[in-house]
Amino acid sequence: MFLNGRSFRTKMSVFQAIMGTVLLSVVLISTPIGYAQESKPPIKIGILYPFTGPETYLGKRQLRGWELVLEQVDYKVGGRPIKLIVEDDKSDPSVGVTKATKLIEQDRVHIIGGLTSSAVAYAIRDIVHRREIPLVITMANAGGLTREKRSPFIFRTIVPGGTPSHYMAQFLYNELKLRKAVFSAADYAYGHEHAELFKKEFERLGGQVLFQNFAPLGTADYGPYCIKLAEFAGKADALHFIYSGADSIRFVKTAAEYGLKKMFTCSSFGATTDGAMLAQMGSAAEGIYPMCIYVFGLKNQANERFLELDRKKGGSLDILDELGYVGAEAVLHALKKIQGNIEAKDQFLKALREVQFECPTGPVRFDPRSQNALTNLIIAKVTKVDGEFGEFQNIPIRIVQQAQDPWWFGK
Amino acid sequence: MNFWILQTLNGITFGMVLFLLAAGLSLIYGLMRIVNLAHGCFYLAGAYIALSVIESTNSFLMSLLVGVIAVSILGIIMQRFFLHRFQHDHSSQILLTIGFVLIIGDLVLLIWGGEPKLLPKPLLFQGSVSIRTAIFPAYHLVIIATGLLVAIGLWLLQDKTKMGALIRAGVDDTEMARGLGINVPILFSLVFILGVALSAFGGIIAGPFIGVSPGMEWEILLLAMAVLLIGGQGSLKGAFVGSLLVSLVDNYCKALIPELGMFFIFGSVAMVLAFKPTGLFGKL
Amino acid sequence: MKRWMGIAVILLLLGILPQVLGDYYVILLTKILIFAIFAMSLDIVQGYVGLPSLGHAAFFGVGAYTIGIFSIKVLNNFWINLPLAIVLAGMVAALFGLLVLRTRAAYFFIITAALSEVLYGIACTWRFFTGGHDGMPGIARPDIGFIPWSLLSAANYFYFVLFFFIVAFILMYVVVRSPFGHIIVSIRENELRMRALGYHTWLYKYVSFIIAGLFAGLSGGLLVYLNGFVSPDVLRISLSAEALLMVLLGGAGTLIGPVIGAASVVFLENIVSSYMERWVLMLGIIYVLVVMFTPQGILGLINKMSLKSQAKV
Repeated sequence: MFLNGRSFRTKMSVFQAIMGTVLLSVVLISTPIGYAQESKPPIKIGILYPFTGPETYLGKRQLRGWELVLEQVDYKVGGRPIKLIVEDDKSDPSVGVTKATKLIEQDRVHIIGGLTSSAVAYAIRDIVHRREIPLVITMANAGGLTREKRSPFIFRTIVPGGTPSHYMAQFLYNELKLRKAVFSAADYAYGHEHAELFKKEFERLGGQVLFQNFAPLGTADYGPYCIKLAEFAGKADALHFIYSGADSIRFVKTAAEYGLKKMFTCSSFGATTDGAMLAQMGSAAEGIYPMCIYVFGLKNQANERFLELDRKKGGSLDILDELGYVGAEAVLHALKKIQGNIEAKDQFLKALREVQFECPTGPVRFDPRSQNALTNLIIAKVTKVDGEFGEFQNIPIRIVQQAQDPWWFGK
Repeated sequence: MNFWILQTLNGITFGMVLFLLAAGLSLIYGLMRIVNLAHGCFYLAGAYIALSVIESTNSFLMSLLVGVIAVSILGIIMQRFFLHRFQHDHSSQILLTIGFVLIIGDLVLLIWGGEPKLLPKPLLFQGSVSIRTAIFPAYHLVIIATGLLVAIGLWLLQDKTKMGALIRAGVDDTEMARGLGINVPILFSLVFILGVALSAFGGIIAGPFIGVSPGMEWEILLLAMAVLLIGGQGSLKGAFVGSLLVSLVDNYCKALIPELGMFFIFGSVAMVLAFKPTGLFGKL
Repeated sequence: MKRWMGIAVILLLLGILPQVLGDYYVILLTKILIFAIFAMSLDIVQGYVGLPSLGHAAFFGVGAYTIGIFSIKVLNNFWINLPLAIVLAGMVAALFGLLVLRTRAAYFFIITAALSEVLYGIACTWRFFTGGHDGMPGIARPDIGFIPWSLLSAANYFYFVLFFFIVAFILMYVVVRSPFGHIIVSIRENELRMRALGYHTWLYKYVSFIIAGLFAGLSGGLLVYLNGFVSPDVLRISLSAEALLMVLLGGAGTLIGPVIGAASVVFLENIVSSYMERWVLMLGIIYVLVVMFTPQGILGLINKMSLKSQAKV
């Protein structure tokens, strides 16, 4: 064997090699799996979100949503404790598959909840389907999972990708009387789905989409794209854009700086969300009409309760918490219905399918065909309020009732 | 017409940011042949520290000062206590600096959380400026001005000062420099700090424009490396021209052929390398 | 004689382990073997030829996507697809080799990274072929046909990969121990002298680069069959960096070192991350400590300790 050119034999003896392998095996086999035996074994929910990397805050926030729900019942249902086993998928499908396998095979979880990345969702689809583990997706788009790739075990508590833009097209055309639009989104499946559904609906109503551009995920400088869009000043009256996270902050600010807000009526989805995003964008976001999954300013009982729970837990709300919250609520309702008897899997699935409750945006239930939740979407306007949640806030204007995935229309 | 003016201005702006990054990397690599994968981390740390300073003092200038100094200290520690032991051992440098990237990256995540942030602009320069009908951000002008000032400063340093002469000597022939009695280790440390400071400075200046978020340290590193490959290492002129070239062409490309987007920069790297492996102005 | 017995024992253990361990650990072991092949292939470039590459994932990714694209869009026949993956990876290595081998060591490192980023960009943008960012799920395990074994079970797939690992290891061992291998190391030590002696040094480096690419492609293909999907993450620089870590951590230029490194890194990343929230920090600290105290990697440490104990006699 060579080591830096000098040849010498490894002096590691056979004995050492065998001992090493035996030791390794012993360590692996004896890694603790068990938990203290309690009177009733806990209901184990595996939570899979990114906790490192650029999507960290998405994971941390949604987990907090789960905690808000479970804290209310003291992590108990039907006399059994509920245990959350949290794993980091790093938004990487390879890691996601490994962790999902660990949760299912090693930790023997009864349910898996979470997911922000579509890639991870698609990657673990076959695993959960084969092992018949109920999966409740709280954020990942992965449209196929409630369309052609659906499974009796997979549920999603958020509208699938593209759907919000479909309804936004209606609002822009019917209510704001806009006729010509330009469109911009992040260059991946999610952005393109929005583009497709927006264009389809807007043009079906009689409008025209003059131009679309797509910026790669993680683009540092949106200047070139905004400058190109500015070319359509006077020709188009609407700009609809789809960006998230850091990209949305940069896009909105750049768009404002290049005067796009004065040239067009701007609308978006997922960009100018209450909480962390708006705080960063400030006045750049003022006047934009976002389609929202949730806004702080809703006046109903469920939202009051949600806000109250948040205040008790330190009050640092972000809309992402609500995503986790709704998923957790769905699971909890189903568990309550079967009195925590999670071993009766068919009953649990049936209970989950039939779940109906009020979440902070309104009623929630699952569409039996797709197992995607039917929830309300909120059309808002970013307004300067200087209120409890910061200087700018999404003030609700319209509610889209029980938004349905257009893919299912007529099926 | 507006379109071209705006695109060009935008390209120059981003080019200045790239220059700040690449100049530091070029100096460090050119003189010390050190492969420093943590270069993006200094950018990141500088921006985050500046963010905290602005949040408490509301002074952009203050945040620049504190950010650059703090990160420079970090740089000295890394160089003096860890890197300098592995002067010619590239493999160890790589392993070591990757370790630092993980450590700094995770600490940043721990201290500042994972949310993406934009630094607030200095009050004077918020808002837009118009040249006839073209509207663009006022802050861009600040970035351009700053970049030019730094470029001129570095050029003066390199060509007109003794320190610069020493650096140039070191880049051209380290052994000879040592032989001539130049205190190479101190020179190395100083240059390393300069490179680190430039990176942090770049991060803070670009903060209101590009922002900062976990995971950026790798993206930033890639961009700096791409510029270096095209412009050539060890050459300040190469870093400057390379940055502008990369940024302008990338800008036009995105505006005109957006489908190419992502791999345009690296495709160009491949092309330049195919014809001139040392980069356009490379001395090495 | 003792050596062969030791190897036989280890193989026996590897044969038994999948039957006693749970699926999760078997999958981790499979991953270790796959990454061991990848790391060993990188060692040929990094440790033996002496050129630090940060773009080795390019060949891994080409192998991976070949399996992905052909399995789903063309024809799901592993007898054709896997060899094809290996060959294509080798071809890309041949292409890249032309571009990168004309430069010096530390430059090489950045250039290889840039090239793999180009491939990453292509994988993300050509959504029709590659599924873009979301990748291509639904890739089936190889159907061996004449053997009545389903590779669907974790244990069976482990044995499948073990077979390839053993073959790959033997082949690479033979290469580095051969006169060719000796020449490579001599070139690393002093290229000028070798050229003066009349060796066409560039050609030797080029061939080694291609050989490394072939094995990297193999490991990429095996990973895709394991996971059942492929996504652009197989082309990321972070994967190349991980492989580099495995080589350096284990001990470069030794072939066994990277295997140890692969086991260590996979172990650290998966087991430690389940117990510690700040596992990334821990990983970084470990790498720094390894460089500071045992720059020849884990294998170097073991050797130092054995030498010391030998010296005491």
